[in-house]
Order: sequence, then C-alpha cells, then structure tokens
Amino acid sequence: MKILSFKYFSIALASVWLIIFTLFPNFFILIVSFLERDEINFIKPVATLDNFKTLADPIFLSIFIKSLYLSSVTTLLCLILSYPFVLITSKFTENMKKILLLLVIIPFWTSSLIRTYALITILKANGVINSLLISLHIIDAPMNILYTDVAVFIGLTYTLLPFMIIPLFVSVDNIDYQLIEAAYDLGAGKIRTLYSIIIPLTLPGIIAGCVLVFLPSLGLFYIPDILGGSKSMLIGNLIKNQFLITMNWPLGSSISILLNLVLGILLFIYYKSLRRLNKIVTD
Amino acid sequence: MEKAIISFKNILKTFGDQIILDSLSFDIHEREFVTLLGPSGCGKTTILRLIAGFEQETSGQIYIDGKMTKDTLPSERNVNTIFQNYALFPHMNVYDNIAFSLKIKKIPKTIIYKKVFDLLKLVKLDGFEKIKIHTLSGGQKQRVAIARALINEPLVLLLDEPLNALDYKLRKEMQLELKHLQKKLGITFIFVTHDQEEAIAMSERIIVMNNGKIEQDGTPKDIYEEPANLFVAKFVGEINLFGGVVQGNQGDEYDIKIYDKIFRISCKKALEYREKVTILLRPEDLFILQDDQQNNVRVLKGKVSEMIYKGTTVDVFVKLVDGKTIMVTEFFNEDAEDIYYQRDENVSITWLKGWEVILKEDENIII
Repeated sequence: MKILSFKYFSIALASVWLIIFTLFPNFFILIVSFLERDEINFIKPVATLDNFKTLADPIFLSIFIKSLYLSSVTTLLCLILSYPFVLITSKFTENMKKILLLLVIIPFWTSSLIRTYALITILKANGVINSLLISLHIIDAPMNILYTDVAVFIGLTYTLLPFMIIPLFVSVDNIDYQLIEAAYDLGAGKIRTLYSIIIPLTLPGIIAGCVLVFLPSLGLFYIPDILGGSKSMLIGNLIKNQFLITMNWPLGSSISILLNLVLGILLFIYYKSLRRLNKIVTD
Repeated sequence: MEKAIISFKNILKTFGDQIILDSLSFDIHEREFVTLLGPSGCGKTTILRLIAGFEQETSGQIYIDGKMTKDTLPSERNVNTIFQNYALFPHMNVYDNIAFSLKIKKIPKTIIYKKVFDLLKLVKLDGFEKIKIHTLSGGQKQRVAIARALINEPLVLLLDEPLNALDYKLRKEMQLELKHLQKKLGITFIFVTHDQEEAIAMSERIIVMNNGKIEQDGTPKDIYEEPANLFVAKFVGEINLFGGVVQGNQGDEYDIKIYDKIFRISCKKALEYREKVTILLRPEDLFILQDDQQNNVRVLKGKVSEMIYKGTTVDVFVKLVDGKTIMVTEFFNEDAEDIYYQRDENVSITWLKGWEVILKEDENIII
C-alpha cells in the first residue's frame, strides 16, 4: 500500500511540475501568438492572425531555411564524426568502453556557454589553431574562421556530438557479433559488411541520434550569436530577439508555435519509424 | 580413404596464458560427417572458428583442400558456417538472406533466382522467399541458415551446435534431415556438439575432446563400446566402474579379482600380476539374476535401492556390499514383460564374458 501511494505521489509530483512549468507557459504562448502587440504592456487582448501572416514574409522564410540548413549540416557532421568513433569504441573491452564514453560526457560538466566562449580563443585570428598552423608553416596568414558559418558548425557539432554518440553507441554495441561474422563467412568484405549489415542494423540509433542533434540545434541561439557574429540568424535567435530586443511578444510566440509544430512532426516521424525498425531489428 | 580436405598440423591456440588447443593434429576427409564432441570449454568451437578464419592459430598450420590458410580471410575461404543462433540477417527476408553471398559475387540475377529457389526446395521452404525472418519458427530459421550456408557450394560445412535451440522432437527430425542432406550433397560436415547422443546418432566419425586435446577419434561404435580412457567412457553414456586386481593369467585370459570374486576376463592389453585395473560396464550390458540363481560364481551381490521406469527400459540402481551404487538397465521383452524388484531385495549382478572394457591405471586419469 505504501509503495503504491509513493508511486502515485511521484507521478503526481512530476505531472504538477510539468503542468506548471511546461504546459501552462506553452499554453500562454499559444494564446499570445493570436494577440496583438502593445508598446507598453507587450500584449493587447485583441485576437488577430497577423503574427502568422508575418511569418510568410520572405525574410522569415530565409531565416527558417538558413536555420534548417545549419541544423542539417550539423547533424550530418555529427553523424560522420560519431560513426567511426562508435565502431572503434565498440571493439574495446567493457571497462575501456566505459572510460571512453565517460570521456565523451565529461565536457558536459562545464557549462556549454563557457565552452562556447572558450572556442573563440581557439578559432580567432591569433587563436590556437591559426598560431599552430602558422608556426608549422602550413599557412602564411591566419584563416578567417571566427564569425563564419564554419565557426557555427564547429560550435554546434562540438556541443551536440555526445547526443549523437550515445544512441549510436548503444545500437552498435548491441549488434550480435555473429551477424558480422556470418557476413564475412558468406564472402562479404569489411565495407560490404558495413553498408549491408552494420548500418541497416543500427538505423534506429542513427535516427535517434539525428533527432537528438537536429532538434536542439534549431533552438541553440547562443552558439550562432557568439561564434557566428550577427550573420547567422537561427530560429532560436529570432525568437530570442522578438522577446528581448524588439519586444514583439506575439510575433516571438507565433515563431515558437511554428517551431514546436516542426519539432512535433519530426518527433512523430521518428516515433513511427523507430517502432517499425525496432520490430525488425530486435527479434 | 578419400583425400584430406582439412588438415590440422600441430595446432596450438592460446588466449593470454590459457591454452585452448594443445598441439592438435588430425585430418578430415572428403564427404565425411565428423562430430567434435566434448564438454563446454574443451576447444571444439575454437576448431570451427580456426577453420572458418574467425580466429588465428597461435602456431602450427591448417590446410584447407591442400592450401595453407594462414592470412586467408574468412570471406576468402571455401567453407561456410551454420551458427549456433543461426545469425540470420534480421533486416532481410528469406530470399535476401540466402542470396546474400551470391549478390556479393555479382552473379546475374536470373542465376541467383534459380539457385535460391532450388535451395528453398531442398530445405523444404518453398514459398517462403518473401517471409521476414522474425516471423519464422526455430526450425524454419534453421532451414534458412542451412540454405544460406549451402548456396556457395562450400567444400566444408561447419555446424556449431546448430540444433541447441530446438525442442526435442524437432531436434530429432533435424538430426535425420541433416544426415540425409550430407549424404545427398556429398559435402564434408564438421558438426560440433556437447550432446553425446546426437553425436552418436549423426556422425560417421567422432572426435572426443577434453581440455584442448583429442581423447579419442573413432567411429561412434568404437567410442561407445571401446572407450580409450575413463574420460571418454564417462562422457559418452552412462557407465559403471569396478576396481579389480590381476591375480594371474593364461595367455590373454586374466583372472581379475573384483570385490571378493574372481572373474576370468580376456584382455588384449598386457597386464602385470597384481596390477590394478578398472573394469567398465555399460548399464545395458549388466543384468540382474534372481536370488535363487545366486550360487553362480560370476556374480556381484547387492540390494535394490531404486527403480526408474523409462518406458522401453527400466533403470535399476543396486547398492553393492561396499555401499557403491551401480546402474543396470533392463529391457522389456517377451521374457520380461513385467520387471519389478522390491526395494532392498537381494539380487545378483552379472554380465556376459567379453562385454567389459578394461582400462589400465594410466588410462584412468582425467585431467
């Protein structure tokens, strides 16, 4: 009886928490997105669809596209960097695997904001990378990395890499090694085995990793802010600016709603495809 | 004898400082059905993995079809494996699993199609080509695994305890089917199992292994009836052991004292006077005499301690005078339609002369 009441208590606690701090604010944002702007009180209680009409403006559209582009490339970079790492890691002993994964997670102990500022000292004109390359006589003049898309990619990839590595590692590590041996036995080389057996079997992990990188990267406004200068505007930056700089709460809300909608659709696709794949792979 | 298709020459395999295979040498010939039999950890699976190329020998040479295999990748060896849990690719259907190795070789689609359908027919899975792997039963998966391994027409098929996951009845069926398949195709089968009954039922030749060494290499009949040592005797079937001392001899005929009785036993091995030997007798080689025949000299006396009814046979456990329990298997037949002994009933046990196996002291050692 006691255990049962504890169960209900913890569920109730979590539910209340989510209702107060997630459901209500989101609900308010939904309402605000249909209201008019007011210079003094932020919002005027007059219903309108103007905010959503504004979003059809080519300027916003180009920000959306740019944002999707930065997130997609980041996701791809994370995937390309993580997959070999995970393949190699899975070959180590159990203890070594734990240590290697710990090393992936350790940077999380420092605030990502601080780590992003630290990247500036590495990327700037007289920073670590340029000084090193010049002293090695690989380049003559410092490269312009900071305040470009490249810097944003580096920052986003660096910050989000663990979100790709962890789900990928789980799915690669779970492959029955006999399947790989069976492929070799049947005449498959290493590359054939990789794309015919290993990649299809880790597809759930690949999808999970991509979702976990793609979705947050759409909203990580401070990385493009710090590393991309003001040149790279992401959806996250746009929302932040509407609330804190131009003080247009209704417009900011409507962008948030749109972003939520996109994320919701992506999560739905992810959920559907994962269920279908898991049925096949985990038999 | 057919030519050797697999040759092990002085193979040593170690993992760290642990010796898995200890200077092993043997030949396996064309068209043979060989079973590697032994307890888990005896090295039998390692032999398969060395032949398949998944492991590298520490020293020694392995020849497949006369060619040394060192540095030959598994994908380049003309042998195929049926794995313990089948290792079917879960993301492919039956057709794609079977066709996998032919697709790699870039063989024309029409030829692949024909070969896959011929094999599906051979393993009695016609019409299953589109079926997904996870919807198949254990026996069907087993058949797909066989078809997939055979499509390359390998010189040797390696079977790593392939029937373990099947239930008793299906297992018996598959044993027979595999045996027929091997005869039909004429491919060498190397079968690994720890089940002695399965080994005896299926193979032409059994290699009994223990601790990385070969204990005995012979036909199932040899292994069962003439075990080379105590390990083989104990591992393959039930056995009763009696200690005896040689009292004298007339040529091949030895007088051996077991408990307080002298038994005249013929033995091809040279035994010394007063030498200690072990006499091995299978439960079915022993029989029980009723009390009134006890004046016979060639008998051991005891009391019935337990009877276990097995359907076609009855296992009778008899406690001898020194407290040691032995097992006697009696068969139901027209002479004995009803076998029944009272608990604690006095009985005498004997056997036909010549049915025993005598082991000298140095053959008794189990490492």
